[in-house]
Amino acid sequence: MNAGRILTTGSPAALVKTSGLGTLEETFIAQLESAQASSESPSASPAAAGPAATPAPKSRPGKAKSSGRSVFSLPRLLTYSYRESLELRRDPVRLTLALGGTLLLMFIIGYGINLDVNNLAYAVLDHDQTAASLNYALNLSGSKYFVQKPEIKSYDELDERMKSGELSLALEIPPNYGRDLLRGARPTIGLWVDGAMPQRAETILGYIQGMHIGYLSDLAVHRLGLKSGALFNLETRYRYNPDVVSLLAMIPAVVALLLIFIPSMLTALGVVREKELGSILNLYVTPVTKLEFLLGKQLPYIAIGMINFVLMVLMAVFLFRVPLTGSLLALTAGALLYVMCATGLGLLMSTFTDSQVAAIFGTAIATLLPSVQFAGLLNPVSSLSAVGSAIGGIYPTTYFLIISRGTFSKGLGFQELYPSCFALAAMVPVLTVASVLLLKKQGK
Amino acid sequence: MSHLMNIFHLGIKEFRSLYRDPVMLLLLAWAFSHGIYVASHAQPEGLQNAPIAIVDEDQTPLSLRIADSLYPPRFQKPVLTSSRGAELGMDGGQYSFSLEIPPNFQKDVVAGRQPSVQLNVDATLVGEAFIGAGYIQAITTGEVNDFVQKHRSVTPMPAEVEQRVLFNPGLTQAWFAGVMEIINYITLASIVLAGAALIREREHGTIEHLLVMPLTPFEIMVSKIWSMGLVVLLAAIFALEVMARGVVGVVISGSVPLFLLGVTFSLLATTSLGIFLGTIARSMPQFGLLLILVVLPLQVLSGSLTPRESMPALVQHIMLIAPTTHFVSLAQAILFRGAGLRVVWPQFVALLGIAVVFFSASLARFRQSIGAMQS
Repeated sequence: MNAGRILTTGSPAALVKTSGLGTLEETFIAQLESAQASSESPSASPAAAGPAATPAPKSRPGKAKSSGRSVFSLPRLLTYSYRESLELRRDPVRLTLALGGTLLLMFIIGYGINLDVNNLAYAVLDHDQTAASLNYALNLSGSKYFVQKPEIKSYDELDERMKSGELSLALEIPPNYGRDLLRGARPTIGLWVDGAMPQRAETILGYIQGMHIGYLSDLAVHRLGLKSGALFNLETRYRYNPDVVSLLAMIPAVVALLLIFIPSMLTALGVVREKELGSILNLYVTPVTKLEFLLGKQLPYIAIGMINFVLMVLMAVFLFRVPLTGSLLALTAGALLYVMCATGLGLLMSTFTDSQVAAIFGTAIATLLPSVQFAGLLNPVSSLSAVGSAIGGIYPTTYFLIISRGTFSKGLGFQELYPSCFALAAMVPVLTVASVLLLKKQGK
Repeated sequence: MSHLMNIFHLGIKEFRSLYRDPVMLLLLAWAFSHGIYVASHAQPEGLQNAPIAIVDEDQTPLSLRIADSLYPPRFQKPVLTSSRGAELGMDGGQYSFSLEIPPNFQKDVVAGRQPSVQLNVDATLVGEAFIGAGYIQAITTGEVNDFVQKHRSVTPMPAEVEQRVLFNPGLTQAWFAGVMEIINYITLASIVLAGAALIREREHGTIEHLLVMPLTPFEIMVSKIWSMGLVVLLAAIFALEVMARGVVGVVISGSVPLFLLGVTFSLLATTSLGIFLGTIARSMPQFGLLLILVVLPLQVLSGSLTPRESMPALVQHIMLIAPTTHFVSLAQAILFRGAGLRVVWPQFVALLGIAVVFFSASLARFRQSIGAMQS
């Protein structure tokens, strides 16, 4: 063989005899020399088992190209896809994990992440114990946001129960509250809030303030006989999710999260596994180009990603009863671009790491953190810090979240969502080019 | 005694393998340093820079005053637009809120006709929706009241509420987010390092090297646990002292040694879990997938992202067997609330229990698979 071409075949003894030289070595050298000389003119070379010089088996039959490598060959690319899908088919556990695991996760996270702040545990330290103080405490106990715990008897108990995390909120009603209220002495109610989780604390403060104002206007009307003095009405409409049900808001987001975690982890080991186990030699010594190699590896995983997507949408619509109000076509197109980005990201991590551990860890960091923190899952991207906004701006999940939320909750179609689709489409070649540049075609 | 020496030497071997993987070391170093910084400053402090649009069909001093009253840092400068523009903007996710002031608003307010102002809230951002709506209500009510009374006044209420926020008085989101991210990375790194250490040996065939030596499966497992656990522990100490306390400025109320003891217990549990996953997965690709499937719910449902009380009861019960739930709980208690051992001992016991369960299960499976290899 020379440069991937079969020169001649036959048993060693027969070859020596045909060439007329003494040893196999000289025969070999003569063959090489004549091959070099005739490398300009095309020569027909039969493809079969080669001489004993190189023991490495030919990877694909019938692929002898006489005039050097072409820049891009679709059949070569598809051969690699075929190889990758063979590997997938021979590992049914992995396939089951990818497909079944996604559904299981959707189920768990869809029900588990609940952004409603309710079931807040509170208790009352009531120094007054009159009808007026009980009336105030009733405001909270009647609310669906709060769950009442046994009464607090002393300050020490308040400290301890807040420290242990049992209570998120403690209400302290001063002595003589009822009397002071009627006399117009303006008593002060103490509110102790657990600040360890700031967002929950802010929500609690908001609820309490609203409740307090409601209590006061109620008091004004019923107890003190004044007219309700509102100057204007603020009518609040919660759009896209009128009951502010966490599930309706979370399911589109969960679809976006799962579509970046699973496909990227699937491709994350695509290249580095070959590096670690040694089969990367196929890339080094065969005529396949880096682009064909990477794209060929990506294709089967894009297919799996799309199957995942279909299953998730079916689950969302039929199991979770989240209606798809917008364009299914726009959602599917967006998902295809998104899965291409996700698999591209995994492959990118795979090209520059040297060990599978590093690739797994790197992909986990590159997907878990940015998608949850910077993509606008809980807060819009524009409200993030400078660094956060910047990362969110170039991260694919941000755009797919817009598409996913848009088609599920807001009834949008291509007309409104095309900017996000363009953004996703722009990321695909960037990831591909970066991977191609980082992949080494020659071994060290 | 020889058992201990074996375990020690095997652990040193693990260190050497890790040392030879510069990319992995780099990733670990980044995660526990810059990663913490980025995560702690990712989320806005409370409601911040919320994008809002105002549709002003009145164009009177009162409506202009309302538009002026919504400004940074809570809100971005309101965008004055048409009704259709506001609707499109909310659809596209550009605005989280839009306020529509009707024509003749000022006239109606002064005449006492109680006109209505419409506030549209993007409720797909559940966290922001309530808080923002509350702020907008308070701000607009204050502005309208002041306008009608012609001067700034504080109307005395019949009863006041004095609020005190314990444990994080500034409600600094960065403290919470930064510490929770340290916890997330501790969990992720320990599971990955421990499990991958096991699978790598199996894939490269070096497990056969170990088998021809007078080593027991117990020694092999414990060596991976102590070495990888130690690496993560050191990274955690760095992240806590230098990053969290130093750079982010978290004020830690409780005892750091007690917290580090909690980290150690948690590492016992998570490295055992990692090894258990390593015994289940047949190859690295399977391990990678299994990792995502396990770590994602472990982190998302542990109470580090959203409060546990809000989760369905079934989920809450199931998550009690997760080490992250207890770890997050004891971390919040010790670091933010200054709790002592007297308060957090249940979490320590739970973590120890989980560690024992996973360790025994992994040991049993490991012995089984080694037995299959030797026969």
